Amino acid sequence: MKPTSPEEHELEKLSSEVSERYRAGPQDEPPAGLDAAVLAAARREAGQSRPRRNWQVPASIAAMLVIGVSLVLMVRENEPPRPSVERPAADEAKLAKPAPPQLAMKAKPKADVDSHREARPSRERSTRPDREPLALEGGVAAQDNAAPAVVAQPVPEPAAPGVAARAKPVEQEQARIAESSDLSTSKKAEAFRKQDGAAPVQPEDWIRSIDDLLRDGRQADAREKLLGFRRQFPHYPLPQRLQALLPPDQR
Amino acid sequence: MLPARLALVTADTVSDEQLMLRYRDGDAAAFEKLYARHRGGIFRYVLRQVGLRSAAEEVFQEIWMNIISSRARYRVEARFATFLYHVAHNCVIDHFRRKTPLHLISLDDDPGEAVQVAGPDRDQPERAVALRQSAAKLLNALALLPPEQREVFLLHEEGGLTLEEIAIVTGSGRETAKSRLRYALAKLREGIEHEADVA
Repeated sequence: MKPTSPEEHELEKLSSEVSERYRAGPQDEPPAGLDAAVLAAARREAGQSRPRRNWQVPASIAAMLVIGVSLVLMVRENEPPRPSVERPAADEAKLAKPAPPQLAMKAKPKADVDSHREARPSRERSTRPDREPLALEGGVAAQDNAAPAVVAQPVPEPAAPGVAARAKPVEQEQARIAESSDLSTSKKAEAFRKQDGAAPVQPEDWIRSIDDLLRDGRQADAREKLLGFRRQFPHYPLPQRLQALLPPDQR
Repeated sequence: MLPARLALVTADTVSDEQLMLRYRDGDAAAFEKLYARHRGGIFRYVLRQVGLRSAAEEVFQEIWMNIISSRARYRVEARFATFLYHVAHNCVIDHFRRKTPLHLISLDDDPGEAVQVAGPDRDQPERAVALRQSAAKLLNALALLPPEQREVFLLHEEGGLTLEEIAIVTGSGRETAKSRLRYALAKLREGIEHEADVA
């Protein structure tokens, strides 16, 4: 007790005087048996219940990691593959045409694979919501469209006369696809117009079709087509019979 | 009697709080040191209030069992002595609640048990040392003190608690604790002098 006032100083003096006499008295202590009992209980308690390690924190961190990693893997797995090169619409239209019998035959194993894939019970499909398998199938379809050469690629076989003859149309088709992919943009557009039944590409064909319209008495259509022709080929020399259809400043 | 091993460890300089923290972490040897430091003071604190040795032993064991069982929750918020004597204070109160005060002076009790509080040992020879005689008188005077004053004196004397710590343990204010201590000391000194005058 630290005295802070004269009153407490006096109290401290009195305390030390009484304390001296008190200490001189009997120093009662607990019996040895009680000491042993208390110490035994203390040792027992220390040995039995060691301070519990806080296992909840590392366990929850591990669980979070596992869930996070599995989520990332699931998302990556479900992500539809992106086509590396965008193919023009013309290629897609050509590929949409029914393949020759040989091609169809070669492509059949792939179709079998697809049907087998659909028939096979998939763990992922069973766990995903209904919309997800559609997305996956769409992804597969996109992949198939993006790489038709892989799908229709003939398997190289030993040179047998019959087989070689059968493989020829396949090679031709393959060459045609490659050629179409190498076309310049304008040529592709031209091919597309031709395919859609639009105006012919060659000037002679175009003029021939205008003559046909005139022959059928469709003057207005012939004039319209001729104007389109003039826009496409401004310097092409027109026959006299057609120049009369144009306005004077375009002749 | 203090075991020799326990007597040796009392000279350790590690603080009570450190020892209790070690015990909390599973070091049983730290508890032995802590127990050796406080066993006598706690026992006398209980004995001087309860009056009977058998009852004091029971309360004493209860106090240490509470300390042992609460070790996992122990945090250093005050001196260990304050914590220990707070537990002891509560156990003594519980003891008095369980037993009526009349039980303390029941005729069924062994009369020899209460000599430590009730008065000087009858077997003590008259020619004993004067200081020891006055100590016995002091114990007699202590037994006659009001319980609150007696407890404050014991907390100060056996526990070495300051007035602030006594106030915390007893749940009173510092000035109240100081007042009680002053009255207690004055009465004890008066009791010693009165006994001397009678003699």
